[in-house]
Amino acid sequence: MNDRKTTEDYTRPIKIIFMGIAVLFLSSSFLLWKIDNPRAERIRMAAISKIFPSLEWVLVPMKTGFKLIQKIQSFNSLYAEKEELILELKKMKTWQEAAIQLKEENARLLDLNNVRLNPSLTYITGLVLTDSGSPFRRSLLLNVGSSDGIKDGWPVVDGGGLIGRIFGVGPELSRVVLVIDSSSRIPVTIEPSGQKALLAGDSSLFPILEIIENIDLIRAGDRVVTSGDGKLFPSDVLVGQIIRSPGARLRVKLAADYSRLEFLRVIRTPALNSSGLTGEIIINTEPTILGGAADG
Amino acid sequence: MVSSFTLKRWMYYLIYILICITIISLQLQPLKIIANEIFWPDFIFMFTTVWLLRRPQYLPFFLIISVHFISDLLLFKPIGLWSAISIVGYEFIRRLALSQRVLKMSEELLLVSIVFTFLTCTLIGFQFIFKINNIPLSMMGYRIFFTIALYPGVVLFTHYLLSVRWPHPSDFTESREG
Repeated sequence: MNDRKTTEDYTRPIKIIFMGIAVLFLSSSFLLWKIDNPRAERIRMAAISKIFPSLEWVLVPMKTGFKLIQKIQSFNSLYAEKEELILELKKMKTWQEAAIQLKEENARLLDLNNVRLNPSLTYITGLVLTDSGSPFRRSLLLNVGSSDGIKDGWPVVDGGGLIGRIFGVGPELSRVVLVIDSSSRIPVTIEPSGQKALLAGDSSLFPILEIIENIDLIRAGDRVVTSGDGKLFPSDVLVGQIIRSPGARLRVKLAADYSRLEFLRVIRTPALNSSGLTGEIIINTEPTILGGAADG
Repeated sequence: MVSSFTLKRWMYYLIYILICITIISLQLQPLKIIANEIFWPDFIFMFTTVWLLRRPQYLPFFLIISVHFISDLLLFKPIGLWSAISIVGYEFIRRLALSQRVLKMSEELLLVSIVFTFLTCTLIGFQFIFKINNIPLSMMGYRIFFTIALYPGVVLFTHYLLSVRWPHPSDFTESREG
């Protein structure tokens, strides 16, 4: 114990001297820095360039840490970018939709100019005069008439499928009764089963299929085309696809685009011409329909 | 016994130097997060004080001075000024620690805030006398505030991660050997 005390007695003054020297050194270095600043800064830079390389190994884990942080940040920015891209994709999808619609319209117009239904058939293209916006319209007016050779009873199609039938012809105009009109009855064939049926309009956009031979053979999605029975219509004109309505009745989703009727084509039907059939056979309450159609 | 004690002491030197180098390097990093928004709290002061209070014999003043001088050099502070001022505070803390008192957290915090505020005010005074206006006063206020606020964190860090704790009363006879 005595020993330690003596050593402490010895070391204490030495410590104080050392401390004094150190503080003196520090203050003198500060004074040097204050008085001859440029030189002190040069010394500082020299010291840093000596010390700093030896610090590099300490910096390695930190640098990797910061790199990691940066990577995480870039990951975050990637995420934001992804979100932005998704938004953009949504926008692009609307554009794609517009493009597809334009393409369809183009195809429809092209199709109107180039019929491949039946080589024996030719057609006359007319422009729809009445407002073509409403899907509940049951008849419409075309700007072609008897002066163009239009006859009663001829089928009318758009690019996609059957629209209706000519009923009433004027010199420059003709009236078309649509498939969806409640008085319309059209004989059809259901593909691929080959079942015959009657397409009956009920003023809805989806006409009903009636008088089917064997319902079990019919699936939703089957194609419906005109059968040509009764020589009223040419055969194999596309009408639409079968859907099942909630009431378990079979209906047809029409292939023709009823929401946008612009250019329609009237199919010249020689067989119909020669048979001399008129719409009166199908529509026996002609004045009512005409009146109703005119009102609608 | 002596050799193990020497080894232990050198271990502590090494750890202290490593911590200080890490702190200096961190402050040298071009950190965008903190940048110039908040002045760096004086982590070196915090670590030195925590160690001095708990292990005064493991932290010789030459080590403290060297570390502070290097930090002055590297961090582009007025060379030697803060080292010269802070060494006074450190020696005061060392005296207190050698009196073998175990301080409560609140006492320790009070001591640290008083010492650090005093030292910083001395620094500000010297800066005023020598017309060095490299650090605005508000920044100095932030520095004091954050240093005191983060001090308990440093205490916990050294306590749990470096296991530098208050010496047990039975350790005193041994620890006095330094």
